[in-house]
Amino acid sequence: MKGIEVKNISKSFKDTQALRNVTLTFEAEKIYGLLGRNGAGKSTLLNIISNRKYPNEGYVSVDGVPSAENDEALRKMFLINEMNLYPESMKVKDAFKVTKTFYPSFDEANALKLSEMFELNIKKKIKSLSTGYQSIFRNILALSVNVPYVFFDEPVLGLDAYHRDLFYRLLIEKYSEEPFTAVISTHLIEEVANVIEEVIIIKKGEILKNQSRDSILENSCTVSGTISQVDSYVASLPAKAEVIGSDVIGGLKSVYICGDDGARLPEGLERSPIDLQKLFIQLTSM
Amino acid sequence: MKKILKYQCFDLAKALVVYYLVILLIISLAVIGMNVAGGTERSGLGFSSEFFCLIVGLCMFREYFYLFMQNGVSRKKIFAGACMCLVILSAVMSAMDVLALYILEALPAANVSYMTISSTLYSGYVNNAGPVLRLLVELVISFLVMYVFFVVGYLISICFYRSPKPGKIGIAVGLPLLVVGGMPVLMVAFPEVFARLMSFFLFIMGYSDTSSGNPFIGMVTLIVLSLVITGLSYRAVKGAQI
Amino acid sequence: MNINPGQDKPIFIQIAEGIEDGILTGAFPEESQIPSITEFSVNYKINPATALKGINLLVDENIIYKKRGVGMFVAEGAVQKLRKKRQDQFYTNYISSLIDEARRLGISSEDVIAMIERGFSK
Repeated sequence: MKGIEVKNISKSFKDTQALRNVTLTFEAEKIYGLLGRNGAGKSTLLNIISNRKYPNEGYVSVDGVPSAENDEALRKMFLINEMNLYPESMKVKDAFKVTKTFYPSFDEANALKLSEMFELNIKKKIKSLSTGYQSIFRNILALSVNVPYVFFDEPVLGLDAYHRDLFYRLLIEKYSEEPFTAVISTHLIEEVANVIEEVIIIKKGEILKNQSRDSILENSCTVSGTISQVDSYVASLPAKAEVIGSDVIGGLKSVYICGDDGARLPEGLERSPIDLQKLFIQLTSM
Repeated sequence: MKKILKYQCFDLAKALVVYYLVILLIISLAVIGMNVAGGTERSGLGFSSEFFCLIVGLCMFREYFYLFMQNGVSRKKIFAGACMCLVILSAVMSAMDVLALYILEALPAANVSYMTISSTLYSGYVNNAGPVLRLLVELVISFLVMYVFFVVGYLISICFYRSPKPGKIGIAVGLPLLVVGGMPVLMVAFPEVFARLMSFFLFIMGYSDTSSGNPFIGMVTLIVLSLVITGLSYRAVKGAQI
Repeated sequence: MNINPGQDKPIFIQIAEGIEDGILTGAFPEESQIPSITEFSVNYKINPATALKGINLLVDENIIYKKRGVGMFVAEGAVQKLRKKRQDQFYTNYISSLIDEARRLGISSEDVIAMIERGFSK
């Protein structure tokens, strides 16, 4: 079976439970958005998948094989996050070379080309790069490594608007040339909303939503009208529909609903689509 | 595995070259000095290699662990690579040290001797043994001693890495204090305990002040010691997280 | 062609409509090649699956056809087909909302018609 399976993963640190019984699959050749607020457990999850941390419970398997301490499975994955794990005094171009020795599929020529596009000076030492350029350096690694599963933990942190735009374009280009599984963890949702195909929303260590972006958006909506009308509509909703938030201004009320296709909407109420960012804010508030 | 080993060996070879250049410089200065001033010098330069091993071991964990974890290597492989690298370094360094010992011996005009552990501990045995046996004893003993120093340093650095902050401070302050402060205090305050410890240490190393000593007892002890510490290091590496 | 994530319409529909507009205005003449899925997705920073979904709408309507290994082309007669489709949709897309707004504002049908005639005569 192709893909990554996360099974019943729990992880706690001293006094905080970072992940609670998380079960997920990352299918082959899809772009995922792993969305969650700060401290929701995104980074911990990615660290566990790539064997950097151990879960307290559960396991991860890659293409059907448990991946913990399994070199063959680990070679299929690459994770970048805000930590620089390369020796600080190493030069960028040497880091490319080292990565090439461990990942033979690493495309050094591509890395050099991207460095030029981002104006990254490959003769510089990694530690002397600014925060933004350290991010760029790691993004270039991830976009050149050519393995089936690449995890981008906050890839655009510290990047300016132009570089963010360039990053998304290059990611899509790479993906179009040769599809791979890309998991992008971010809280800048508006920017990735159209890039991703699948959405995973995580809150306080638990998975709230895990479905395709299109289906989540098609079945979510804002319904607004007078308070009494909206309330009676909400009461009539089937059990699978879930009201995730509401706003009241004067006599007008808006409710945000997941899992309602709006087929039986009465006269006088207005149903409008909801974007991913708004949905995320409603789902993860409180 | 081969890649990890190659990367680490190349990286550490630089430090090794610098170290031996410095040693060469010191020896040449000593030789010149002794010849000008007259007299002979019994230098303990051979022992500085053990300190070098300890320091390299201390610096070896974190940087490589991070780099290899980023590049999809398991802890098992990281550990195996480090051990192999330490074995190779120990072999190279023991060969270098024994070479230095022999060269300085062969040059009577040098007036400087390069003491190694075995030439000190087992001088009686070594001086009476045939040339092949002597070479073997010198090589094996210094190889084992260096490996032990390397792997002790390695283990300490993993423990340091894995400890929470207070533990880190404890290790950083406690260990040097124990070596520099603890031993003299023990020596002065509890001379009997210290004497017992010393004689126990010399006993398990096969040293004897009455006979010529038995380096093979020392070898067995060192092998057991290195296996135990290597085992502990393996457990420590397996549990390390980022 | 303008893809706007903030708009209420799903992106794949915006892609399809954008291409339709291109065909109607002559930017993509009949039998000419249109940009590839990759070009669309990179250019508008959208998932290739989304771009494919949009283009497949047009393929299903025989407005676009795919040549294996070559690319995608505007079908012969596409302009006419599109014009017919848009004409059919004209009432629902424009007239009914126009009437809704006119009712809310209390504008009579005569006034609306007069306004439309004024607009045409400009």
